[in-house]
Amino acid sequence: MARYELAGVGMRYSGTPVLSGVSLAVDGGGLTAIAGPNGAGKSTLLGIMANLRGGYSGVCAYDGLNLERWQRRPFARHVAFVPQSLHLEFPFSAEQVVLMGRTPHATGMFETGDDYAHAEAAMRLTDTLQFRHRDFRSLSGGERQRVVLASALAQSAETLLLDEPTTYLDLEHQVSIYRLLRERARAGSLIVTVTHDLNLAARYADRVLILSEGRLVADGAPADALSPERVAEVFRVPARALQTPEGRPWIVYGD
Amino acid sequence: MATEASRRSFHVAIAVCGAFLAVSFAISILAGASSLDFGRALAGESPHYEVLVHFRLPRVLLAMLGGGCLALAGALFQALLRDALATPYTTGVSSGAALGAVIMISLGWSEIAGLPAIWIGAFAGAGAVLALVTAIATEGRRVSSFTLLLAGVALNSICGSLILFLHSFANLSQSFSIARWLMGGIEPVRYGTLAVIASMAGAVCAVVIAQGREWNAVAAGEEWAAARGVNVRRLTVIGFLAGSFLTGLITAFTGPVGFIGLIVPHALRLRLDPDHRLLLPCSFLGGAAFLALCDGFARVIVAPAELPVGVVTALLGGPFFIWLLRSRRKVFWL
Repeated sequence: MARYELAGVGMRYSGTPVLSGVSLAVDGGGLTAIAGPNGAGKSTLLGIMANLRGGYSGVCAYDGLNLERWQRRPFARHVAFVPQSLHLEFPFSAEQVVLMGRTPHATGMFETGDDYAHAEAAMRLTDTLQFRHRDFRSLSGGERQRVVLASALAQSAETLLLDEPTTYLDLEHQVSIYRLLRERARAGSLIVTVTHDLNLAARYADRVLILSEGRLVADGAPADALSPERVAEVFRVPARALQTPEGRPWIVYGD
Repeated sequence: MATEASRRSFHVAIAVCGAFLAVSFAISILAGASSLDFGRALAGESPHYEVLVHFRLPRVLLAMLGGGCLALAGALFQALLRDALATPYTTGVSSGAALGAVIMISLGWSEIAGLPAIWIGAFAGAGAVLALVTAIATEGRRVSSFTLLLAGVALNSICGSLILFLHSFANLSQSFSIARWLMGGIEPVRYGTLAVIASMAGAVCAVVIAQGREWNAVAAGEEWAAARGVNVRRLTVIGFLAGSFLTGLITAFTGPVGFIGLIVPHALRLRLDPDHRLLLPCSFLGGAAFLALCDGFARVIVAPAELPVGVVTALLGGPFFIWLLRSRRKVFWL
């Protein structure tokens, strides 16, 4: 049995279907990218998998147990979620935001040495250690995004769900984050990331899911899922597929 | 060693705020309209002893309890609603208390079951508004903190207009009592009453402070907290009930005393730490010190007359609130 089992998952927001009939199984050891146009249901699907959205139809199970039956705390030790962004009203430091990732492991009111070690390792991986003491709100968009990712990494969960984790990142950090995700996946983690960057998905993902109008229209290896015909049809842009020297697909879109 | 960093800063912060509280206790015990001779009071000489033990000391203790509870409730509502401008009064509980008190004054009742009717009325009013706001914000098993906020604002103005309505029919002495109660003030209470307030407030505060780590996650966002294993629904209900209980309890005895729940947590968050494990207990200590000092100030500034303490906190709090609005705007328009 796969770690994630989804069968006929659907969701409506005040009557309008945003997701319908999504069935899939995802297992550890791979990096899965979810792509699709705006409003295709990507974030909704990820939110359901992260057990943050209720009121959906169908079944979503993790480790053989339906998500409604999971308790929040143990679930958070298995699955970490990285939102698109985080807006804080209060002056928490970057390190405090990262340490929040240790909440599901808390044994008392205060952090242990183990908690600090995990937080520091996560900040090293995301290149955020240098501004650990700065007010989170004073950081740039990309820096904040890396801190949010570090907080999820500090959760030391075997599954990582990410909602557009590289939107605000410069090229160096886009590549280093995708490298990190691929490395984790190779080591056995289950990683699912929503992305708009088809070429990053094609380059680093082992599997690509394409959503269109709430339906899963493609599920397979990047080269198959991201065929130029499908990209043109789903995203409604002219598209061509080139090949990188290593034989990976490179999608050219637009005029 | 980094291991104990948060525990150590917790102890340092508590010690500093505790010292501040001790100093303000000493100052506010000394401050007063009547010329109180401490040497004679401690020697048990009448009337100095009676003034100290039956008037000054219980008043200072009530001010400390009240200030502490209001500041802690303010910090709690700010985390719950993720709004630095939330106060213990945002959810309408104190307007309910005020309405209850005004009803009792208008009815001319002075005692119910041996207790002052105003206390009973205020506490009942706070409870009624709490129940109403909770009912409005509950949809099935969900409690929406945003609806809590809006329902609180709506009930605030409903209670406000009912108070005006009752006030317009009041006779002169009732009218004076109403105006005086609505200004907020600290009156000496019996030690038995103090002990009851202290034990109830202490238990509620301890429950809230023990969940400081979860409050941090909730203050960052409901979804953020849920993804970190926090039972947000449960914590929201606990926080709302605890904050409202503390506010209602204190308001019943002191009337509405504004701005403490706003100033103290905000200043501590900026100067000390936004970590709720520090912020909540330090808000209690800081609020206790602040209200005791304001009450001491209210006793001496126009001696032998006294200002209502609500006037002093609002005069200090109003300008602070404006500064807060200005600096908040700067963040958005920078």
